[in-house]
Amino acid sequence: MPTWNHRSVAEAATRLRLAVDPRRQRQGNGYRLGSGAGNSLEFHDYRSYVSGDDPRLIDWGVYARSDQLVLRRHRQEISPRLEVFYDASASMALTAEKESFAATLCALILSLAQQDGTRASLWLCDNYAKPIRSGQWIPALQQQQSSGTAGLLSTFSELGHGSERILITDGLYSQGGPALVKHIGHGAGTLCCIQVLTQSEIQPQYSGGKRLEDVEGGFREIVIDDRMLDRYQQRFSRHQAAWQEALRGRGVGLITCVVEEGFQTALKNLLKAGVVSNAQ
Amino acid sequence: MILGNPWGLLALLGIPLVIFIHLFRRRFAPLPVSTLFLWDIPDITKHSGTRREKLRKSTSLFAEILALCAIAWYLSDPHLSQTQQARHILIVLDSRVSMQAEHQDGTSSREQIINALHQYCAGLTEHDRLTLISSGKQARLLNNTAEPAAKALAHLSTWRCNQAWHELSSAYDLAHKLVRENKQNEYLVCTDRIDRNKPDHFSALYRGEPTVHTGLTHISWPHSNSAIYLHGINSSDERKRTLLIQKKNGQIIARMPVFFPTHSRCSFQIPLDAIPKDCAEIHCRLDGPDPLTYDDSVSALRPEARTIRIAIDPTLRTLQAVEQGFACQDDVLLLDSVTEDTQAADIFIGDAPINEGTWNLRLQSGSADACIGPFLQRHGHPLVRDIDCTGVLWAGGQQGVNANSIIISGNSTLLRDVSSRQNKGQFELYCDLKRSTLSSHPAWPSLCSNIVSARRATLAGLHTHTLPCGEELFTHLPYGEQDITLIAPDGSRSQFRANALGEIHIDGLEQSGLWNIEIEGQAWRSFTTHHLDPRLSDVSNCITKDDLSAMQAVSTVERHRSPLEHLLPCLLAAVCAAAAWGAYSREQRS
Repeated sequence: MPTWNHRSVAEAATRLRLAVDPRRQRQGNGYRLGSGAGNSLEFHDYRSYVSGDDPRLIDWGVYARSDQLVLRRHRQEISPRLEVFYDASASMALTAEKESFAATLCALILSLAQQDGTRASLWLCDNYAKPIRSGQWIPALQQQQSSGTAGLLSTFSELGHGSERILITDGLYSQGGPALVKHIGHGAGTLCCIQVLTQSEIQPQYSGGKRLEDVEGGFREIVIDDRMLDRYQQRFSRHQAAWQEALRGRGVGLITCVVEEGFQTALKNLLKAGVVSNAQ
Repeated sequence: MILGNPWGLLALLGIPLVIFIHLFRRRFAPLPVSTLFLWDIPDITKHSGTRREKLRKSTSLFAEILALCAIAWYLSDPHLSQTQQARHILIVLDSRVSMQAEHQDGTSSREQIINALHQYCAGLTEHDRLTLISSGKQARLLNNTAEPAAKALAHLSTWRCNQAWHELSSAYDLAHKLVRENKQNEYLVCTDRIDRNKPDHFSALYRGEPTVHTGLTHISWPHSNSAIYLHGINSSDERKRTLLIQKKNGQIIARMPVFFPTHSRCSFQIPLDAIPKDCAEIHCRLDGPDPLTYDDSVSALRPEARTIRIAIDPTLRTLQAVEQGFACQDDVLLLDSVTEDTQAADIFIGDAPINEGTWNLRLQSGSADACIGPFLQRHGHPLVRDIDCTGVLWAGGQQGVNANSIIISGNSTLLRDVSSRQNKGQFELYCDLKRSTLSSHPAWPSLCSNIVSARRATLAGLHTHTLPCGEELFTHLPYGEQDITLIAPDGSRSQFRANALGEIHIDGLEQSGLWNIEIEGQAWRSFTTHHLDPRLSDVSNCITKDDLSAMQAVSTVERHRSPLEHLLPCLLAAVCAAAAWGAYSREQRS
């Protein structure tokens, strides 16, 4: 069962907030700008005037310049849902530190959501996806035991259309990132992936005869040499590139946090990626 | 080299097991990963489909095999020197008195056996072991079991051949009980004659001579004091010898020529008038040379008189039948009630105060009607043995008595036993002798005789004063006495206690000679035992030969390992096991 430093999470939550669209001004029906046209003050696009349109929306400046009647449309204001998908498969517990690190990041995201007043939901995915009610997130995270393999690929009920989705996983699926992104990202407003990896997963330093036993099943006996390591790096890079390509256009993309680099470095990566922002 | 425990080599079966484990165990240390799919591992298809890999000659493999070899070495107990083989021979020595018989060269069977044993054991090694067992009614060891041969043979000097006839089976049984489990043992019996009960796996050293001789086989001096009876045996042609009868001090009382028929047994009598009345003990000896002298002489004690003293109530003296019925019995003394102390009587006829130890026959008429015999008699009661009351007109009898006490009954109780636990021999005869025909019927003296005999059987004293060794002696203690001290010819003392009837059965009389019995420190009786036995004197199956066919001379291995022999293989096994463990750990880590 993972443990984390609650004080660090609480301290981080006081100075961070979940990142919002910077073009949004302020309150409205929602506090985020949607992708469609609506009633916010933010310009969305122009549309030719057709009979019956509200003449108040006609952009007279354009008419003066071009003698064409066009409507000025504004972006919609929405209150989207935040859905956090926590990968509780066996690979996430490769080491206790990795498991705790991932749980810490998940606890941070949920704390920020709660702080914001966001409607957030948590899915714990081990062998299957379990929705966790609000108020039960922290106990559920503390008590969950990473096991199983295919939880993220199971069917999710009641996912919000257009919701913001954050996936916390190590991304080590043999099927590759695209399949998972397609499955989880269906109907999402945005999707980003916080990838938790250990240094040995990124750049293993083994050598000699080893019996590699995958924590999610399977084993192979190999003799590891430099050539093997180079091939591993190439495959890993391709794997990461596939994730990034799959997440392109869906949000902030793939944010890799290395366990050994620590929590603060991970926060910097999240800040840099735009998942969170400073709270001023 | 020989192995003390060849079964220990079974430990080597662990070697193929170790090889099997090494063939199939994992070659590399396990490493948990989560990125197995990212490793470019070629998929090698094994044609045979097995998981067996080529055996790697690792340090742990050799160390484990070496440890198993060390364990097998320790368990199999190898002996590098042949001299550590050892034989264990159990020797049964015949201790019967016939082993004293002298051969023509002047040596006895015993001496020849000792010489033969020394010769045989000269071929044994210093590691070989001997156990000497002396035969007897109760066989016994002459030495500690499995002693070195030289040390065991020194105990032969304690072997005594002075016991009466007995079978050797108890010695054979003792030999079997003493054997060491799962070890090969050899058995040897040393005797002077063939024993048909000898087990087949026993070898034998026979040192006997079927010589021609005559000897005595039995003597008895009955209480009846009619004569002394002797039995003899002759294993040759007819022979005449002289029987000397001597007092205890050696003085010759009489000489009797005795004739031994050819190859047969015989008996003769010594008339008692040849023995002075003051001579309590006699010694009979066959004069003249004879190769076997142990059966040429015997002692006998004069048996004590077993006279029954009978006192009759003066009022009954008028009944002649009563006095005559008892007076005609053998060895009976009728006490004169006027001049003699009737309190000392063994039987009192009539009503009298009960004296402890005195039997009492009360004569009462009874009130029942007369009846004519035969009558119902209690079967097996000593008073009615051989009594036939057919035709007896029995006037008298008693009605309403306890049925358990009835001895003779007709239409009423005629004779009954009113003895108690404390007071034996109390009888009541319900008969009007004047009106009955009992006293003139043969049944009357028979009844009197039975009473006298029954009383005589309970008289204090020994039932015999001369008996063969090993026979049981029966004695009856005086009334009120319970414990005796028995003193053997060698001076050893034993205590005996009588049963509720005052009887003692004494057994274990293996020594020959004069025995004494004391009661409360006072000498009471004596008796003598002798070794005479026709089986001992019969030397027809005595032979001299060696039958060593059962001696296989197969040695077992002495399990006397030195501390170093214990320590070395165990230490080696422990070191190898530790090395195997260390090598395995290192292989796992690498």
